[in-house]
Amino acid sequence: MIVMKFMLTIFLLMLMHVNAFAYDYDPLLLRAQTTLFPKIVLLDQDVATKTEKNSLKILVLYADDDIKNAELTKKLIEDKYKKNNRNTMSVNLIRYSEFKSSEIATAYFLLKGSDESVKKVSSYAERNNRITFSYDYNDFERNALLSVIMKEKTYIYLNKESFQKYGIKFIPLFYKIVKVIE
Amino acid sequence: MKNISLSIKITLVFVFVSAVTMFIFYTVFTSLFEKHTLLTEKEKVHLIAETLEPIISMNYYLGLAEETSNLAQRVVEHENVLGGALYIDGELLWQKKYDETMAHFHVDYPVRDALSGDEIGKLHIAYSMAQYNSAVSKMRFTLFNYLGLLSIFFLVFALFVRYLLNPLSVIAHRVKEYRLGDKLEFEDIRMEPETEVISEAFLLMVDNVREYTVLLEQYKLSVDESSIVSKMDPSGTITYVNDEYVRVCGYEREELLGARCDLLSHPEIDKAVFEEIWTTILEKRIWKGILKNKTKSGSDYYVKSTIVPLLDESSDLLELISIQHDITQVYEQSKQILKQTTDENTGLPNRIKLSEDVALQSDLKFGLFSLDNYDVIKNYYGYEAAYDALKQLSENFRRVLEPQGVGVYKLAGGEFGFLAKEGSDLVWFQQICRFAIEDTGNFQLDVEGDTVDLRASIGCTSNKGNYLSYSGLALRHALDSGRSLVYYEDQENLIAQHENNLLWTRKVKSALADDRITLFVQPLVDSRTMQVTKYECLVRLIDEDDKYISPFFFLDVAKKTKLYHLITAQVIGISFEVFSQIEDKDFSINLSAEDILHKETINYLEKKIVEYNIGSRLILEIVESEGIDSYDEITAFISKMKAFGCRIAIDDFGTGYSNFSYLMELKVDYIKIDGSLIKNIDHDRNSQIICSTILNFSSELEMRTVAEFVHNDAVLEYVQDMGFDYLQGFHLGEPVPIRDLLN
Repeated sequence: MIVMKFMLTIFLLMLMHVNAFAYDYDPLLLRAQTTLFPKIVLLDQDVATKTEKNSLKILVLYADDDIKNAELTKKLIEDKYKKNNRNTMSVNLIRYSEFKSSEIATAYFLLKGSDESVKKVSSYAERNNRITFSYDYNDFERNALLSVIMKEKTYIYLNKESFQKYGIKFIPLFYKIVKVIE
Repeated sequence: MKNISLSIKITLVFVFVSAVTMFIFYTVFTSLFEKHTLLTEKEKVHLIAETLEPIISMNYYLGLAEETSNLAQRVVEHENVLGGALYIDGELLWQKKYDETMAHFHVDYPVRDALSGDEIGKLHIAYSMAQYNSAVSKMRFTLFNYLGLLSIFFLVFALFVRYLLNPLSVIAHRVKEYRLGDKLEFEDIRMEPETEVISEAFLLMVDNVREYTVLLEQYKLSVDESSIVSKMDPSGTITYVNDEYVRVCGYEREELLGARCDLLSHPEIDKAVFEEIWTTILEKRIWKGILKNKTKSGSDYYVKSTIVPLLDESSDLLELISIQHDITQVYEQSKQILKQTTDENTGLPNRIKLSEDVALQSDLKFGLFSLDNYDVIKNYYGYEAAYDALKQLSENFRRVLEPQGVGVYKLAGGEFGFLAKEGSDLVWFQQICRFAIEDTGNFQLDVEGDTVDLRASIGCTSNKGNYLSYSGLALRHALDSGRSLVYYEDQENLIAQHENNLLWTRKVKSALADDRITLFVQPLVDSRTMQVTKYECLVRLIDEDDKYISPFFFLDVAKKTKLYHLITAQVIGISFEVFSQIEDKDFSINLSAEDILHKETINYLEKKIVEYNIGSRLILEIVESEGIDSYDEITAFISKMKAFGCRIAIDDFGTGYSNFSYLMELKVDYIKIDGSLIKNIDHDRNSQIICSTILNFSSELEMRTVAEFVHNDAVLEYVQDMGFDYLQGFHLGEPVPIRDLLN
């Protein structure tokens, strides 16, 4: 009976978890990605032209039921890179469903979303030469530009096909540390 | 420097050039290396800074101060970075101090804002020069080793060059020490192709020198055997004489060596000759000429001398060599030949020399000059005066003609020959001849206080084959025609004239033989009574056709022959015979200078005057122009004839050289004015003035005047008015045969 209760509890917890988080995220990976993402943005040679009032503007896009992960992502970035008199970076959250063409930003951090929504943002970013950083490197099939995965080491992935479309130039050092995915 | 051998010179030059080249190479190369190595080191630092700066900038932007410092700290992890500092926004974020005494340089790299790119700070990096110094040291060491090896190579090369040139040095020494007669060999010398060519060239040269020396010795022997040779130093001291010199001059060799070169000079030689010799030699030219010397015994000898100045390489006078040939015999012979070809009186070349000179010419221009009154001078003033005249003339010709290139020769009597130089223009030569005639005409010969005018004629020819004959013909023609210069160009004309003369000579001879010389008479009318009071006898020749021939055609020809005097005798004989039969008429006969000077003629005249006792009716007409040259003879003749009661008339007055004083001396009775002054007297003002003057003069001297050539009434009337005593002319009476008077 106790075993039954325990199993039931586990099941419920598992069910609750599914309800609370529509998508699963590796916390460690997310932490690594949020650490690296602003730095990568600053390695864009033309980043100064993509700021808003000389301030980095980062949009975190998330699925409708993924607000918590989005907020977590924002929190991780803001905690890592606290504002100072020079750093006035802003991190904003927006649902894929609410994304409009007017939502111009310095760079886009793509949490998990539907294929269409990810494609939509990627296409928009591509047209405006803005960086898209996807949590899921499988989004490369949906025109996302960058991603970070963790294996035995942490790797920054660059989508070669998208990179050629986006027309973004990074400082030379970046190309030495990035892995290009065909 | 001159004594250093070629091989050493080449080696030294090679070493010097190599050293200079290596020094320049070393200096330039090290300078460039240091400069570029330092640049490379600085680029390294820049690369470090350039790599880190964007990350530093990014971290600083993101507020990662610690990461920024850590990143800066990574700079000093480089082994050559001694220290550094990071300043952003005036704040020192990181610093690592270093020992500034260590050799280093530093770079300040700007840190820019991650977004705006504005410079917000600087990354100061102090970089050690240890690596740079190490590289430079290594480079210097390597280069030094390399240049050292190169120097050894150059040295070996220089030694090799010297080794190659060594045979040349040996050849040079052997050639230098070579003496004529030695054997010159190069077989033991190591030969390269070039040295072999040089040695062969030297051997060939030595062979040539030997050959030329032998030839030279033979030449010297030839010259010594055939010539009088001496050498002198530049001061004129004799330093060498050959045997011939000693033999000819008679001095001992020891007496000659060291003596002055003028030891043998004859005292007669002008100092100017020596001055000319020394001037020529000092101008480094060869002097040639004939010198008269005397031997030790005092006898004279002539040498044809060539004095050659020998010069050294700097063209300075080294010595003089004199080569002489004894030409005493030739000289004496030449003098003899010269004597034979020279006129003794004038010193001019004579006819023999003329023939020689003409033979040398292909284009001849010759003039035969004749002093027309040479015989007169000779006859009346003697040979001395005539020779003196010729001598003065010859000196004048030499002075005037020879500078023009005309050779003057003394020929027979009063004749000279003028020979133009080869290629002279004929017109020019004729002008020269005319000038000679005029010059002679202006020449006045002073003889025993008298001044004698000279007259001359010239006959010219260009015919080389018969130059004397043709010029003689031309001269004869000039004398006959009264021209001073005739050029023998119309050969046929002259020959025809010559033949004409022969013809008339024959006719005169024939007429004399056949008694066909006769007289015409022309009346002279008294201008007051217009009555014939006198007759002038005029000679005529009756030819074989019974025609009367005027004396114009035969008298001149007759004058050139002895026939003339026979004609005069006929005139005297006929006129005396006829007028002895006509008692109341005077008559006149013409006498020329030839007649008066011809003793037989005068004797015949005197004899006939006495025979016919006709002197008081006889008037002797003497042509004015002919008497001047024989003044004394004429005067004597007149005096003699006046003693016979004869009267004297001067014929053709106004055409000759007479002057009034001359007439006064001659004491003539009549003056017959020449027809040229009468024929236009009625309208010619000049004739009127001259005749008026003559009339006044003759009136004062109580001489009668006769007007000839009265050919019309106007002239008759005018001359009557002027006061002429007698008149003659065709208008008053033409000449008629003398025998008609008897009828």
